[in-house]
Amino acid sequence: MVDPTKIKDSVIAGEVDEVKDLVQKAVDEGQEIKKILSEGLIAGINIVGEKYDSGEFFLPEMVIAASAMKEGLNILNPLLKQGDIESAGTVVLGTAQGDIHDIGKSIVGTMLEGAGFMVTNIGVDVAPEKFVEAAKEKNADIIGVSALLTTTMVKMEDVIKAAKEAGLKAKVMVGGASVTQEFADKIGADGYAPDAPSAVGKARELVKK
Amino acid sequence: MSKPRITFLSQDELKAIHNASLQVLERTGIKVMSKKALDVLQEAGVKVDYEKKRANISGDVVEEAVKRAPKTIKCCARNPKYDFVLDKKGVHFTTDGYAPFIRDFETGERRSSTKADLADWIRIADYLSNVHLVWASVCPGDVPAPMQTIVQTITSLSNTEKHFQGEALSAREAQYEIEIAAAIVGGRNELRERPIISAVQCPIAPLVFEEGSVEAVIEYARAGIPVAPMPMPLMCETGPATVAGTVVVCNAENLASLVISELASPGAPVVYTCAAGSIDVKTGSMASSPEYGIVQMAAAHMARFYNLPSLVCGGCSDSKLPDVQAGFERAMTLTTSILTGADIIVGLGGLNAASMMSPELLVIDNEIIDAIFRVARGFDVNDDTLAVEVIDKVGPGGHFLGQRHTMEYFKKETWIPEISDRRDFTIWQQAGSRSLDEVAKEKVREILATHKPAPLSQDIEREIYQILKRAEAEFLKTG
Repeated sequence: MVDPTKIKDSVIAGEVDEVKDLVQKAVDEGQEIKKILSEGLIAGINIVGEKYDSGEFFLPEMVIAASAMKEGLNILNPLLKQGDIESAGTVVLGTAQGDIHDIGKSIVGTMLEGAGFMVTNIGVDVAPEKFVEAAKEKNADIIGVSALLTTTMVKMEDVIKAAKEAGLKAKVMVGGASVTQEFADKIGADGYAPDAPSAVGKARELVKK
Repeated sequence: MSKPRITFLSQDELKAIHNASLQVLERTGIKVMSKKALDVLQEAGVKVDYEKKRANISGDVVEEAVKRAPKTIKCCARNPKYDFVLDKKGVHFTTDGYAPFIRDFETGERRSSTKADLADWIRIADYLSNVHLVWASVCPGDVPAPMQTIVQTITSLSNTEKHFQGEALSAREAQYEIEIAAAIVGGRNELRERPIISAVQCPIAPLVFEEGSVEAVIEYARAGIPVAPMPMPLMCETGPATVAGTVVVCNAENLASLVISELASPGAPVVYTCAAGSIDVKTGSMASSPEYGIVQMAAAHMARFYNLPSLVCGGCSDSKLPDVQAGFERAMTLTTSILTGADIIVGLGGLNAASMMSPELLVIDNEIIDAIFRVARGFDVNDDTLAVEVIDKVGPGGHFLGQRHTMEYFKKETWIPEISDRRDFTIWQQAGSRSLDEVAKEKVREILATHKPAPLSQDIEREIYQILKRAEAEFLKTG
């Protein structure tokens, strides 16, 4: 029998393949899915978060642990029953129209997935109506818009407007190197985070609101 | 490992500096204010004029001394884990000194330093990872002047487990210091085996060897205590206006001191040393200038030319507070001195041309060194570090954060600061908008509240107390 503690340790160590193998094995052994999830994957990622907050862990360790977590979740998700897991929330993520910078929001996406969010990454240079469409389809709690350039961050406001016009429940979160809290407030965004690790906290906060 | 190094003097230029220095030593000679030291020179066949206190040293005497001098020097510490060897394979750092003032880190005021300030300073130095040996950077101004050197030594050795580099203004002071160090390691022979102290003895530029200091050099040589004779000619003032000329004076003073040490005790450990530099041509005061930086580099090259261990300066500043000037001046000379590859670099924590010490700046210097070390460490070039596999795995447009290769290397290859702030503006603002010196002050408070170096044993403390009392009786005439 696979000990969930082993899964937890593998998540902390960022051993992606090992997490995949152990979770699959635990499933094959018929272990309770909820237990694999809470005592294995979630317990691991929580410790990673604590280690990051205390300064012991760094971004690469966070990201690889989140990737490991995601691999485990991919196996468990189809097997989960209603109520087995309280999803942290659903996020639709993309880069603003005219901007093709990809990496920042992908890292945010990985971190959110690691934190238990269901993330749909809709890519770069995304038109406002595409954000709205995807958010509707996924019944998203959060629309995340990223922009690196001062010339493209103005497009974020269009996403917010489009979401409002469509009457979506989703909150709009913005981020990127040129974006500030002041700018986010000005365009009427619901949330802003200055970097990937704090984006997770902000997303949690927005879902609770 | 491919390591960045600065070398700029050609072999011919090094030889030219050497030859010019030999000419100075033979033709101009040195002034030695001590009969004892002149006797040592004369006995070895050096031409001595007792009336003028002049010694003209010929090239063959210098070359014999260079031959006798050890090429590596062991510097031990109360705690052997802090032992290190001067062998041109690694650089070691110590604090600046000896300053009459401290910049109070709580108030920002300059005030006369005290014995308590010195004890605190040494404890901070003991804590910091890039301080490998300590200097008694601030003078115990509240101690009667004749006792300050002895008290400096005792206070320093009581508050650090690391090697202590002191100074002596007379043979008697040197003898007391040797006695104190011997008490700690268990005897004179033990001290010779494990020298937990060394000494910085400054000639007076240009070319003067003061009585007390040079007699202390002889005492240290005979006790096997490493000596760093620290020439300080300053361009335009106590040295010629040219960099090369000032390097010649610095080199000549080094060689002369080396001769005295090797004649007093063949094989005496001597560290080729430099604190030469330039003056501020507006005011005449010592300057932490670019020339100062380049003179240190030249001196480190000369030490290599003689195959001698070296001590040069780096990290000093003319600023009066931990500001941008302090930051750029110290980063400049630390970078050049580190990349030139000296064995010891002195100058951490100092302001206003070493006349004032700043505890928070010492903490900042520790961080600056860490960063420059990363530059000096260079990088490996091999199949694994060239990373073709992982570049292919990630592919165009991907990122490397989640890769095993990244996990393996990121801590080895990227420097992670301890106190410098790299956070986003908003997060920094939310955390209190603190500047680096404010963060460093917090660190100073933390170190002083928590760091306790292992104390000396009660027996040793008692023995040192007896030595202190004897010194007081002698120097203060209280006996």
